[in-house]
Amino acid sequence: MTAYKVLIADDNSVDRKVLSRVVRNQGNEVIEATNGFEAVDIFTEHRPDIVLMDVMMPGLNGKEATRQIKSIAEEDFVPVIFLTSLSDAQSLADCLESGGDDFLTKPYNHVVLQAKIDSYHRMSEMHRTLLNQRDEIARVNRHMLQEQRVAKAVYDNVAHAGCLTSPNIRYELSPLAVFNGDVLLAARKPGGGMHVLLGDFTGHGLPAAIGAMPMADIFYGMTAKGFGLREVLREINQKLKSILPVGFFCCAAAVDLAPDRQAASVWMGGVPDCYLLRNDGERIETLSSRHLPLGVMSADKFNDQMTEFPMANGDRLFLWSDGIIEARNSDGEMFGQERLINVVRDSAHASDVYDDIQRAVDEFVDGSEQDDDTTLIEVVMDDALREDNESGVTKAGISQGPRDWSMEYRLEASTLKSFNPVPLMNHIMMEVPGLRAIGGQLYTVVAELFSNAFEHGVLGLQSSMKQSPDGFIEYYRQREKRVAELEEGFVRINMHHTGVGESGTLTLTLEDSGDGFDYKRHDREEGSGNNYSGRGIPLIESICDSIEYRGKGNEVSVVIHWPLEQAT
Amino acid sequence: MSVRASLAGNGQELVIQVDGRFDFSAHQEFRDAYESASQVRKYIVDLGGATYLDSSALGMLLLLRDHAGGDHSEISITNCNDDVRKILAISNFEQLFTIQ
Amino acid sequence: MIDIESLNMLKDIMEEEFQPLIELYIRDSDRRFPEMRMALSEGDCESVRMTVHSLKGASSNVCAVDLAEQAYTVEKMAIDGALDQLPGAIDALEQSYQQVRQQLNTLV
Repeated sequence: MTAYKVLIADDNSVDRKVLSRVVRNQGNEVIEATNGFEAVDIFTEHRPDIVLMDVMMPGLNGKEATRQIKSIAEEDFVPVIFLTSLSDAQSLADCLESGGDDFLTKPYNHVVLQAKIDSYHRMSEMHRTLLNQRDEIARVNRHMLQEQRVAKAVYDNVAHAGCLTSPNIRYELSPLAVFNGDVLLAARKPGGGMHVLLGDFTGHGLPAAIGAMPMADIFYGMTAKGFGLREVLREINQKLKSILPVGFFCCAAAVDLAPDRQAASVWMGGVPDCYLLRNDGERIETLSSRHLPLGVMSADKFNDQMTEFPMANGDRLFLWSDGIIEARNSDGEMFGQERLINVVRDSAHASDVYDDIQRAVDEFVDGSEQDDDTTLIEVVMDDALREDNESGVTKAGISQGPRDWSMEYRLEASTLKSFNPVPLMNHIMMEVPGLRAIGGQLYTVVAELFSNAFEHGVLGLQSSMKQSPDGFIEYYRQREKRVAELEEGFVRINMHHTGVGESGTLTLTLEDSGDGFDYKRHDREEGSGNNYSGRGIPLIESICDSIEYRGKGNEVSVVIHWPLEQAT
Repeated sequence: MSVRASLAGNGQELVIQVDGRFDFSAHQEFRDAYESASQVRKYIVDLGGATYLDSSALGMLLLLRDHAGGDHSEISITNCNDDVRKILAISNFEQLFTIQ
Repeated sequence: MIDIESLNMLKDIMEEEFQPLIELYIRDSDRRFPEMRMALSEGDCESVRMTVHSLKGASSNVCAVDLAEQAYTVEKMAIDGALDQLPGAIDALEQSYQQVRQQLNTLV
């Protein structure tokens, strides 16, 4: 049994001795005080676990001594049990009122005495545990806030490399929003125009903040190097997919503003409908999410398709995370899409919409506690974006890098069995700054040409097989079998680039060891295509200036001039 | 909120019913529902009684998909009300799940 | 006069401290009667009450139940300030105490 330290304060020495003996017999350590003053002094010095206090003592009586002890104990819980022969209810109540926790009436019942001592000891243990936990929580919380401040500072250094302060942008993002999962990024493109990205990570706190870091880094890094938004999104998706646990992802809306073409392209995955308002009209155009959020699909299944629409100077695009729509009033009711579109519809002019939304949401929530951030951004098309602040740097950037070069890469059967050369090819092409803006499309072209050469040429698979869903499955079954059995064959890739700094020409030639095909007949039948095979061909045609089949059809050469007429 | 799981189709189909608000509070129960079942080839998530779902519910569906074999999984989400259907549509989950 | 059975229990509890306890009781109590009379002569009923209250507690501890009961009656008189009744009551209390004292002395 644990020895408790028990202070017994009683001026009556016979009473004190008897009680002291009983308590000691029960295994406790006893300190005796013969009056109230002594009790307070001994308490201060020895800090007993529990105090048994006679009520009537000369000098300082039990009640007053208790008050003093309780005040010395501060937030520690020290149970004081009054010893009394008083038996009327009011006297007993008075004892408790003066700060006593309980009373014991004389003559004492030894069993009850020990039970009370034990019970109060448990209570003070619990109290101590609570205090320790409280202090620990407070300490952890202080530590966490400190960490968040530091993390916020680091994050700001990454995120504020951008141009959210640009005059064509208005936005609302709470100061610690990064820890609530909302991210807002904007960066000028080297050739004029701007990329904007609004992200909403699932969850709150650290997981969301961690995902935001590489996202901002990739966004700013790649945009500054001249990569197209599709390529940026592709990279962010891949990064998030690899670092976030399954079930965590980032809903996002990304915009590529191209003032030179008076157009914008958006990619939306998992965010609510956004609106486009014309400067000169009343019509509200709705943009809807067409993709899965970032970080869900693997790189090969990620869809980077953007929706392009004309956007004249002064036209406004409004983007938000679900925080605005899910903002709750004091009754727990959500603001909702309906209210939002009504606010937009009722605004006198497109330029009032931003303020009107903010006001409507503020009035609606009226200070109630919110679970989510109400991130809102307005992006206005502005001709001034065409002129690049940093044109000197970026023009120089574009004119740098390799201009006139060529390389040939021949892959033999043993290599083709397990190695995909497309990423390497892409990497080499991306050394040319002018090709970065079309990196995504180039990747698709190279991937398509290579898989044609390998699958139809080297492996001899017929693309016509892919015309039905069953054939599609059979095609891939056959592919796997033939790759396993492959012993000879090759694919030769030749890349040739010439450039003058701000424009250039890339020629890709692929030859394979296969039998080729009747490309003259293929040309005649073009347009009778199907949904399963040759998906890449229209895309190749939209980017390449020419496609030429040669020899027996086992060699193809495509030419791409950059900059493209249209960057989609 | 409540999550109930039952087997159908000779024990090869697992029906998971979620009622009420489908949010983070359902996390453990939802996970237990599919992790405790073996030999299951097809999953049916019945959201007939679900009034609302948030992004963590979407995350839980992705976890189930991962558990069920990722791209080879067979998961149907059924009986969604309009609000729930809208949330699934915004996130384009019909690309990953059969939504009925 | 004394509850012998209870006193034996006390003896078991106190062991070697029993005899000193009884001696302490007698020493304390012997002193209390002159104290009470002194206070009474000064009309200080509160002091009388404190002293007789202590006697009551100590007596009940040494199992002198009747004496404790009688002390309680005197305590109530002191609370009521019954100056006319107190001298007689204190005398009677002391007589009872002397009997308890004698009995205790034979027992230890």
